Amino acid sequence: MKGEIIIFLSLLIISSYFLHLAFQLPKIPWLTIGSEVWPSILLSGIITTCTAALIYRAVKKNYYVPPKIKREGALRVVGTVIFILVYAFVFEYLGYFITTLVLFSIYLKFLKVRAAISVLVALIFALLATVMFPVGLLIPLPRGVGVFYDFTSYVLSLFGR
Amino acid sequence: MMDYHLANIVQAFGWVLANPLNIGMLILASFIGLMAGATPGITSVAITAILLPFTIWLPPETAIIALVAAYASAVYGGSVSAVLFRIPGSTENIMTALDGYELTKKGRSGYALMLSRFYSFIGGLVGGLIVLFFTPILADVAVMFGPSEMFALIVMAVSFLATFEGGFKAVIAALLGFFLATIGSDPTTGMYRFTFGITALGGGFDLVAVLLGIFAIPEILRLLEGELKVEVLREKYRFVELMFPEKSFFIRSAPLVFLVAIPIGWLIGFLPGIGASTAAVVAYMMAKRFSKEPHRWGTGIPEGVAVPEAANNAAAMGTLVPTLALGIPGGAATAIILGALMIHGVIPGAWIFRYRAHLGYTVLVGTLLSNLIFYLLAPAVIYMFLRIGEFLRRNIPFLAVSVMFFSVFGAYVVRNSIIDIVAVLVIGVMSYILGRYKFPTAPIAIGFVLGPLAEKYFRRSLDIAFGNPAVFLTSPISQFIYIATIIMIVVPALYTRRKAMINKKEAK
Repeated sequence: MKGEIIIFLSLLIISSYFLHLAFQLPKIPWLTIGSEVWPSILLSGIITTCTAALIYRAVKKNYYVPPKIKREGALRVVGTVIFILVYAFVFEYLGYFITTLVLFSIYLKFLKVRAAISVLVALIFALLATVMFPVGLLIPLPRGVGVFYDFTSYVLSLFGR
Repeated sequence: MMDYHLANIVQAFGWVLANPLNIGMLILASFIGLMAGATPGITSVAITAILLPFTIWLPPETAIIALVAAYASAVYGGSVSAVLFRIPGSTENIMTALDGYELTKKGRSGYALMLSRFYSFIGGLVGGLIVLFFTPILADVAVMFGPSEMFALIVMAVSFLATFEGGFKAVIAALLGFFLATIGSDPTTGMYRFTFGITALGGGFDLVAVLLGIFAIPEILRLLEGELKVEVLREKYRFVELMFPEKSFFIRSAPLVFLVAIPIGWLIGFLPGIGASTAAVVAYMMAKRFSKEPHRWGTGIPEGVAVPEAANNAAAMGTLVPTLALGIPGGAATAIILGALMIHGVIPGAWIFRYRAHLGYTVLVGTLLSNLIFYLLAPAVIYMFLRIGEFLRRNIPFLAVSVMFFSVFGAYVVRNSIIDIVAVLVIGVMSYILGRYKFPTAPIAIGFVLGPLAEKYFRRSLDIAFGNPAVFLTSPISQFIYIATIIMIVVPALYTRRKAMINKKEAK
């Protein structure tokens, strides 16, 4: 099946599911316009437009096919997505400093940057985060748990925080 | 009345310029605003809020001048990251990212940054002059816009989204944006919608996270598809080229800037509760409609940078009218400025210009001068970011980690929530996939920004009319907006069709 059709169909199914959820929202009798009205209008709009687009494509047999990506490029895209996902999951446990230092080094190495430069750049970013947020703008960042907490606190103490 | 007004304006220039503290704070706040705006993830609203506690010890007029200067400079600064990295610094710069980044890809980032700086200044200056001379008079007009008129204005903005390349796809993208904005607690009842029991989603998706997801992540994924080392020529400019646009462009774009962007930007800015982001969207769409080459918009056309920048800075000035004269904030940043006024024991209202003329007029003049200050300070910031941008575009891995850094931290620091990092990723991947299939992704962002406003005014209108939908069409202002929308969509479409038919005939 063409990718474009899969997207329209997915949007159609997801919107129908959310429309079903919208109708399940509790009704408040004294309210003129309930919580479900606005989302229902939008979701009906998506469903109608997707249906129209599917019919139009089926009649015209006119599909857009995106250019192919090389295997290396695709790997980098998938790797980046996994990297952000891992980053989000360990951010609060390891603390912002160690997470940035370790994961950015690994990520840069993955993008074929020399190991020493990777570590140096990662260190610059970890320090930049420290200077910008907890020190400069007084916005707290997660320090991690256990030994990681102690380490991040030590780094922050070097900046007087 | 007018004599009194003019006399106070002249005096206020003296009050501002004779006080070194006012000048010092104007320069400092403008520089902070510029740097913050240019840094992806720190919005104009965020920097205004961050500076608020530091202004408490200042005299009221200096405090307000500093906050307005920071806000106006940050609105401009946001265009720097929009142009260089396709990451709008603030929601006001969404439209600038479209053509600005395309110009960067063509090796003309310095030119794009000069345009954004010059037209931000022009928009802010003209908008500021209107504020200066007409605030006490125009305040009455702002209250004529009720919920149904506001809703009509949003419908107008959304209708123009259909003119984006992509037809069906643009409409779906805009509706998706509107829908994303409904996730979280219902603003009227507080009921959770589509949160699947995730408490962190109760407040909905954060705007910064959504913008980063739509603009930053897909761009970096697209760049990673290709080669990691890219040849980027070093852009060379003479000083004067970074100061003013060429005369021919200024004259060519003048009708769009002075007759479309600034009036629309200012008008929408001065309507309470709409804000500068909507102004930039409507002005861009309208200018595209009136342009002789609408098909080139979005492909790196200089007008695509000039128009939204002039509009958003004019709007930033316009938002001060309801804030000062009515005590109703025009947007989130002006709500903070309103808070600052109250902290200093000033109750805003039209009387501010009569009984506390020193304060009212000093703020207005300071606002006008802040445009001049950021215009003069900007070249240093532009030069610095231009060189950083060039280096990063040459080395894709470093660009990738930089964008990643600002995306992750920019999303996290707003609410200190991991869910915002996950939101960046999910929305980023979704936008990347949609982008691969030629869905325009900017309408998702526009829909997300306008969504909460649209729902609020839609429900409020119907509540007032006890559910009667005729309320949307009964007001003369709404009727005018709807008729103008229809004309502006239908007439150019008919013109294009006629032109195509003539071309076809000639070809035969």
